[in-house]
Amino acid sequence: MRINPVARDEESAAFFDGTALGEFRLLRRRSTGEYLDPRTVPDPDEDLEWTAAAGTGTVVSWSVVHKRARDGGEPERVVVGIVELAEGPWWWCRLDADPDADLWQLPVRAVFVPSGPDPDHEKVPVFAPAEEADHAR
Amino acid sequence: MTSRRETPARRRAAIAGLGLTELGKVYGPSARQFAAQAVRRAADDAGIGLSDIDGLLVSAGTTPGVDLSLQVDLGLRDLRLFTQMQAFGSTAGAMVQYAAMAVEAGMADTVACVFADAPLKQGKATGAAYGGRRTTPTGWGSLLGSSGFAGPNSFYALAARRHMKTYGTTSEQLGAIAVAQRAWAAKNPLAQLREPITLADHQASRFIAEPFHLLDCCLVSNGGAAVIVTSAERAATLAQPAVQVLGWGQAHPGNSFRRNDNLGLVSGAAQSGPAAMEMAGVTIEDIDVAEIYDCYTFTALLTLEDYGFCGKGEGGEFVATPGMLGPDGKLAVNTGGGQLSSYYLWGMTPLSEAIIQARGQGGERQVPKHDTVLVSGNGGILDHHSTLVLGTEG
Repeated sequence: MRINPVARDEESAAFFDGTALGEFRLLRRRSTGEYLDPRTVPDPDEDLEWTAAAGTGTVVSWSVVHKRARDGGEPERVVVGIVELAEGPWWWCRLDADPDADLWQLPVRAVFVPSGPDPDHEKVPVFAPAEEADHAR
Repeated sequence: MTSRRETPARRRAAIAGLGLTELGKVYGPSARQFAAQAVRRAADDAGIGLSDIDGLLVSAGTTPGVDLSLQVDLGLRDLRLFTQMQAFGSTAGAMVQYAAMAVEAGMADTVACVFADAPLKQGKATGAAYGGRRTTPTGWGSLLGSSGFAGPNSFYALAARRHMKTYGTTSEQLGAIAVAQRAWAAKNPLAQLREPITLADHQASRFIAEPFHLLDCCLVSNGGAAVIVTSAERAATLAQPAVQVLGWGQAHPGNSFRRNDNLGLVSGAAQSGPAAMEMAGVTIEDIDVAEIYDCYTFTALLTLEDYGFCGKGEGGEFVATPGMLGPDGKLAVNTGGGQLSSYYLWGMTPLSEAIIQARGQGGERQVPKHDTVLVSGNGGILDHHSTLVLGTEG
């Protein structure tokens, strides 16, 4: 499983603070309890807080991307997908799953994968079949 | 919409000119040069001078330079309407809508709407044209690329897969669209790909992003296209058969990456299509020709469903029905080959072919009955939709 390096910026810092701790963080409206995508640009008048989500969800859809090999060999098959998080928001992500499997509505759980060797390379959430992810924990 | 019906017929908008540059693997001119060339050709086509243009709407693709500098490049003076617009693949249809409103309001008399792009570079792979942009891998914008997504191909593949799993749509059904459109393209001298293909060719073409094969994906093209919008009264005095702008609509569902319960199942076409047809006073049964945005086979299938040519979820069976699509089919769809086989100029691809068909200038591919033509534009990841109903009757 190779994830290319990702570094934080101001807007994503709180999210990556979470991934470093093994947490998938969402924003939540204090007034209503509604969960929002972590990329939501906050309205200064709104009372939003960061909160750790369960890190679980189900696969809404998936695709197997074929990356052509530089040496002309067999293409690498990379599984990506949309996960509906238990709290409601959708998250587009890498799936650590069998490219030949039917992943429709599969229960998945986040695992946090280092995106590179350097100190500023953040951990990125990747979703794996919930049973396997639980087994690995 | 009621107010528009009260617009006197002579004041209603019509398309009087169409200008296409050389299209496809055309190297040399910049996108900016293509834009100016397209406007000049559209004016020539309409039989007007550049100095008759008093409104200009500009739309860029992926390459920079197609912007407000166009006024000076064309030497246009004293414009009364001028801006740059961006709603991705829905822009071309939207530009015609804004131009029509300006003409009907009396704000401008003759509006040129132009799109140009030059993503292809000689000696570089086509795939690099839309996938090769490098950004600093920082923050939210870097997550998808770093996680293995490969731009629109993979995003639309997710939408298609959801439709397939929900409704039982198959890859072979998507292939029926590719095969039918190539058969149309074979009759279109403007088309880049004119060699007929079979369903077996579609299935054997390499995977780009499963479930999409190569032959599910559109071309990439260099070139420019422009149209001239004016009043129906004025258009009737010009060089070409006037193509009336009978109705229009837009829809922008939003939020596709964060939570859009309809992603891949229903697009904005389900709103903009009926709105445009209602404004035009027509129903789906009245449509003679449909020029449908087809960045992927799936986009065309979903849009046909959303417009109501078949029931929701029945698109796969519908397009694969023998005798439905293609040059001898019951429904004339993407009669130039579409973005899959002719040329990819975003929303200008369906719009330009719609104008050619409505005028009756399609040559070998001309559809016999072409009074009412439906045109779709689709942008983002099914985020932006525009619909036009064009006509030549009455």
